[in-house]
Amino acid sequence: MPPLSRWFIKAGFVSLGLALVFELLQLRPADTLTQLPDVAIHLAAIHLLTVGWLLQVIIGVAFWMFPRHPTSPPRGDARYGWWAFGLLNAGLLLRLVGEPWRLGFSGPAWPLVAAGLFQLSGVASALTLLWPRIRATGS
Amino acid sequence: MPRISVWLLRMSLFALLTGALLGAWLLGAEPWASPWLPRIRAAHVHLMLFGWLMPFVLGTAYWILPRHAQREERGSVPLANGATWLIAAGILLGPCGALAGSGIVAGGGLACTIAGGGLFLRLLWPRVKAFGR
Repeated sequence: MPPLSRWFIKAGFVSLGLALVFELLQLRPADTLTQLPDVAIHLAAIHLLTVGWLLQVIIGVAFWMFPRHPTSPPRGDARYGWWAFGLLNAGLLLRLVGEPWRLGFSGPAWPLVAAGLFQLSGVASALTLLWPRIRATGS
Repeated sequence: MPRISVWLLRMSLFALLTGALLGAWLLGAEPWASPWLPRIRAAHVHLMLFGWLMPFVLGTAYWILPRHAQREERGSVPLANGATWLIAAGILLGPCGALAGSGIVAGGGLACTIAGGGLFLRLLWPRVKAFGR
């Protein structure tokens, strides 16, 4: 398994663990951490599951297993994958911090705007890497 | 990779990019109330669940699950083609209906998604088996 796949899949597992922690946070006693808005925790948990876990594990496995190019490099230019990895995780972290900050403590909007742009750019970078490898082969 | 999987996977990546675009818009606009936000959120959820995740998983399963030894190796091709068209219609109609605020169009999109997904389940179910059977 190539290093990029390993990093994506392990980051996916870490996100799954964090998502479960965020889900647990929603079950906290009513008088604990009262300033943390439930809606932000709920959204964080959902996006840790969908972007952090599912999307990253899928990208990692797809980079590893999709039909390879007949020319070198056989899995495509991995730099797009590393950019995708960095941008997706930076966007996700910004959201995890920015959303409770914004909704619970009247924080600034820029972390959320940046989180959206980072994740969108990360998805575009992953698509640049994977799109050419989705092609008809054999039977 | 069979041609049907190619179509499903490319459709799903297109839906992922479109859904991520709407998601980035929602994230940027989250602090400011707008009557459009619930519609954009519904389109984002439909694209990510039924446009990206479901076709990607079905397309990969259609490609990679154990093949039949005697009959058509991946099951009926016309059935798979029909299911792919239904899923494509669902990807188009569901978010468009959500954005336009049309329950009929969005519901039609969801119905296409359910029908296409159901046909694929029918195709894939017998292929979930031990190798060599």
